[in-house]
Amino acid sequence: MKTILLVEDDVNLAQGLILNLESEGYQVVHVDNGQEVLPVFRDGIFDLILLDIMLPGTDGLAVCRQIRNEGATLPILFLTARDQTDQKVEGLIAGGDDYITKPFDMAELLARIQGIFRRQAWLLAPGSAGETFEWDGRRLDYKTFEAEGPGGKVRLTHKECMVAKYLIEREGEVVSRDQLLDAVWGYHAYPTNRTVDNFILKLRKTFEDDPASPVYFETIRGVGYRFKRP
Amino acid sequence: MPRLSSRTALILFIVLVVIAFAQAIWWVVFMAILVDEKVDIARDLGASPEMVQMIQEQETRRQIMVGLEGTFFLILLLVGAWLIYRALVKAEELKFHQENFIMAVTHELKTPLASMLVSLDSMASPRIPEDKKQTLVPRMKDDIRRLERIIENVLQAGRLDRDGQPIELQPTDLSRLVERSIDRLSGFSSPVPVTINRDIEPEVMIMADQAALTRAIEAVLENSLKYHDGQQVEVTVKLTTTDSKVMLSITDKGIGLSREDCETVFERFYRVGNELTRRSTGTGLGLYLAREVIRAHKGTIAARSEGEGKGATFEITLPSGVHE
Repeated sequence: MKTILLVEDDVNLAQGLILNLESEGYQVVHVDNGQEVLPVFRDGIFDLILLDIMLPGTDGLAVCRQIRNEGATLPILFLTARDQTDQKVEGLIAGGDDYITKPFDMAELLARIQGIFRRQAWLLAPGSAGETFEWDGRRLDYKTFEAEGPGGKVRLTHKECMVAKYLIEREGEVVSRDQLLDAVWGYHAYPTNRTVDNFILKLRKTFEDDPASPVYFETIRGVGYRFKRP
Repeated sequence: MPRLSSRTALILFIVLVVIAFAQAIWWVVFMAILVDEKVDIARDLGASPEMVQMIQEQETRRQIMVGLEGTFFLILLLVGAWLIYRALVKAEELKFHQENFIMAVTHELKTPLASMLVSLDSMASPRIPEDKKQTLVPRMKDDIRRLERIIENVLQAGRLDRDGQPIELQPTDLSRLVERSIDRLSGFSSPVPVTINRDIEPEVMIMADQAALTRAIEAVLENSLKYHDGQQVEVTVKLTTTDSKVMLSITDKGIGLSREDCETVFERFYRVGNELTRRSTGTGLGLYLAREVIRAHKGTIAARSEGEGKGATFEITLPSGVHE
């Protein structure tokens, strides 16, 4: 059974969400303020965090950053009343995987949660070449997100690892930005498909000898990206 | 603190002050040079020492006169510049609070709506057991009441701007009014246990607009219930009378207020803390509207606190007695 950590300060909304999530077979742990999230998170094992942004104590964005700084890679879905594009991007840059704006349909929230779990399962499943992929002295571990390149070892984020895996599994194929967004984020999550470029930059920094002249993670102008080994 | 985004205006203000000072100094120096030049010319033209002294005295008098006039205009200029600067800062503060207000209202409206939508989805879901569905109705009613309160507050603030606070006074049993307000708010949905202690003197009669005063008292009471310490809510409501006044005090053991907050908590759009980490829900209009209603009743309202984390007391005084 998957366990969801629900962080929502509104009693009525939280109770409604707990009722629905439990009826779908999830186990739910509820926290109603920002300060208690980290201690509860450290004490338990969770598969997903549903995180409100406007919270008493510590705001949801700060909570998300703290969780990511601890090296946690579990998916985080923001529940937010803020619907401005820059506010959504802010949440995703803070380390969120997806967001849903209030008010929302329960069916949509449940579909988002299932989508996150589906993408998570895909990421954690061994790739066509196994759980790690090695080439030209570079290495990427799909389970631990550890990457090794010319600059040494780094731990990629959940999303960076997903982008890399998606491209590697389609070696030689040109992958459009939309395809990447759809597979990694679920298209609705990002307001602009240019945002994916930042993730490619990070991969180049990790794996390329010269990130300015990439050999492995190529840009195909006007289309998207391609992974290839020369 | 509000951000002073009008940097240009601030720079202009500083430039204006510097120019004004430079101008003043230039005038003093210029006048002194002018007097010396005139005296020298008079000497060169062979004027008698008496004549030279007369010219010197005359010019000095003129110099004093011009100096005084200059100083007067300089002060006028500085006062004007200062007033402009203050108005600018105030406008920026208001803009900051209004932005916060819009954000707060958006959040306050959307959260009960989200809760209602989730409850309605639950009612329609075949996966939710019937007995659980029964608990959803009071929750939805509570959400509707929350929405109604927010909308009423926003409308009331708008009316206040336009017409002031109109009240219709009539003899009122304040004790009963306070008791009823406490009863209504006893069911306040809170994540922590709520205790409201009552120390209400019976049959305290005043002249009041019952609907407006009820709203004001409930806004203050709700504020005390909301700003709890995360453990429990304990609020004491005390109503006493003196010869000419009645005093209603509402004391909580919540997060308390800083000295500055005690002053500003009644200002329009004001809310303790920033919007993302606000300690509780609200639009920042409740206490402002309460103060306006109390003032319209010729009463006073004040907040006291020993400091943050030490609880707060709100004291309302109203004229006692009933008259025609």
